[in-house]
Amino acid sequence: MSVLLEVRGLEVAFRAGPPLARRRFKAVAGVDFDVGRGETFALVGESGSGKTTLARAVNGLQPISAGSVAFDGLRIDGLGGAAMKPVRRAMSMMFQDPVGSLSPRMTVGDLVTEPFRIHRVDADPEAETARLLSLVGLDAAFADRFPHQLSGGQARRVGVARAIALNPRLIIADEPTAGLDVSVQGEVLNLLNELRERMGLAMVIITHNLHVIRHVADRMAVMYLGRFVETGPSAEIFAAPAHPYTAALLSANPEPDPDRARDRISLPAEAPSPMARPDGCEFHTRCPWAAAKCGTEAPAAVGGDRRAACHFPLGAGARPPAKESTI
Amino acid sequence: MTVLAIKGLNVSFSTGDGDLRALRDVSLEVPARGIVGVVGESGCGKSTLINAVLGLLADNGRVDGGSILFEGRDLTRLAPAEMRALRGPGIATVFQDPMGALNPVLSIGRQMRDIQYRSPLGRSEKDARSAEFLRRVRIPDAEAALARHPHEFSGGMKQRVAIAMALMMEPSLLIADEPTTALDATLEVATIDLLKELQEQIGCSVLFISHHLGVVAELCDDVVVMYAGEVVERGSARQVFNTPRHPYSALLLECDPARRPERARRLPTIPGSVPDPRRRPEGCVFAGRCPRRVDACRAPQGERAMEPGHMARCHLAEAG
Repeated sequence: MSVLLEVRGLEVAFRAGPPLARRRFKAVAGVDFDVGRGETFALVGESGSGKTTLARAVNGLQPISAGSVAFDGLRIDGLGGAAMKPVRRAMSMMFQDPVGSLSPRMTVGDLVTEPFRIHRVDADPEAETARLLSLVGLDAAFADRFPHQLSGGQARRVGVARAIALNPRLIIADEPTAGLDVSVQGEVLNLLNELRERMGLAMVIITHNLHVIRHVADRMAVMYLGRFVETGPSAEIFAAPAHPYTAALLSANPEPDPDRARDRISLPAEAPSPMARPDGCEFHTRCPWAAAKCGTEAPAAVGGDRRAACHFPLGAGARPPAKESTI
Repeated sequence: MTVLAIKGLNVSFSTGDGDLRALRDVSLEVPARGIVGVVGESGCGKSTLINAVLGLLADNGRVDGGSILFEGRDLTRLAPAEMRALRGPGIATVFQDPMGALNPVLSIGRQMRDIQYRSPLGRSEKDARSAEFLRRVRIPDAEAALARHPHEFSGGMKQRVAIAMALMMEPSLLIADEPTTALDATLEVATIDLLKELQEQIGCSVLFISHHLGVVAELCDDVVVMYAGEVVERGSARQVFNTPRHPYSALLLECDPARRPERARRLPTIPGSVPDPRRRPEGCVFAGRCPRRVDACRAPQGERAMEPGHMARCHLAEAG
């Protein structure tokens, strides 16, 4: 599988804080990953971990402060608007809020053909509308409706139709199922999967829903404070998480079974702010297994395809005893 | 003893396009010290149900049948002033959006003091009580937190403040409307654990509204499944999750990707969509999407009991 998207050492910095005491902090603090052609890559993490900022940086919507992004062999970081335009044609974005990302004053027909107008592609709007709506499983009658007349799932389908209009090679989908009911969530994921198979699309899916990832993603990365704490094939990570944070996330995923034995790893406190990163391993303030070394020495992510940034990866033996955790 | 007993509740909204029957023949019971979960997808009537209990239906909404008995009093017949006196000490609520539930321009301490307006305690005693409840929801440095404003707290902390405010009144019934939906997974489970612990301490009952089946399975003793404004199934969490009897409950559980440990490229879905509440079918509301539909489904369906406490609104549900 050849590489479609190659991200190296990517950093995004913001300035924040009270006037006169504004400080620079890194929302994304150096991440590396590849997405192969036709592959589905998932970014998981909790609010504030930098998932959306990372997606926006890859897409050029957010200037980066270090690192590189290459798409199809071409460096795209730092490209200006005009140079970025053809890239965006091949790399489309689905934003988080399904209804909010559609202009309320345009009909569905106008919305799904807007990419053709923006990129000045000659196409018959009516034929394209019909083709795209049928691809995403919406009746042709939807073409005359406005976004407020759509349900969340239907609005999501319109978002998908816009994203695939110009036959992209990569779709970046930010929380494609957030706010959708379980039955509709399955429909949207199946649709993305079908299109991926039919059009050979690669996808980057950003989500905090781990159950979804297990079913759709080939590989995944777990983000914490703007860094990847664990990356690898999703099936392997689900089977045996190596990083304590990944394990905590997996165990914090309530399953609809009242009899399931719960051995949950509960995390004390909330995530620290990226403006005040802890020393050493950034997860040590919440890690139930943290040892002295973890507070002073930052672990490196080692390994090939499967990596975890932890001094004492789970399942590797020699680990300090778990602390009694309190929330 | 039953704290809340809803029997045959009907709620309608008048709209320009005719009457919309939001709830039809809804019955459920919340036992003392029990936690009852109401699950269902968007538009199934979960929010209308709690608004009807709280007497907060919109102006075009009305209860046109049935009763809501809270500690023996029928809430549908209470005067607005009696209902106001009940909200807080009788029934307290935690809403989905913690930011929307807190006033952004007042400090947490001021808001927590204000809601104790019925109490004869003095100002500093009220503040001490506020701090005590902030400690119980594990807000660090509770005294100092009283001086802070909502924007200085994270989402999870704001929701814990909202929980503290609801429980400060020591209500007999806590209604929690999707209280963890806006939170991350690790915070979600921490909030659920906290809610369960406080419920045990205070000894209140909880009516927990959620679309998250996993959270309901974990927290609740009993489960009520709603679809298109009707209760299609209810029973203990074990009965409903292990042996769902209504085809909708069974399909809903199947759709949850968490129920499938093995990887599935194609996730199950429920084809079709919820019927328009202005044109709901005479018979079973789920018949239009039900894979087991037969002619008898066109007739109105009543609740059938399969085992004590386990009912389904489906003629195909068998006993035992």
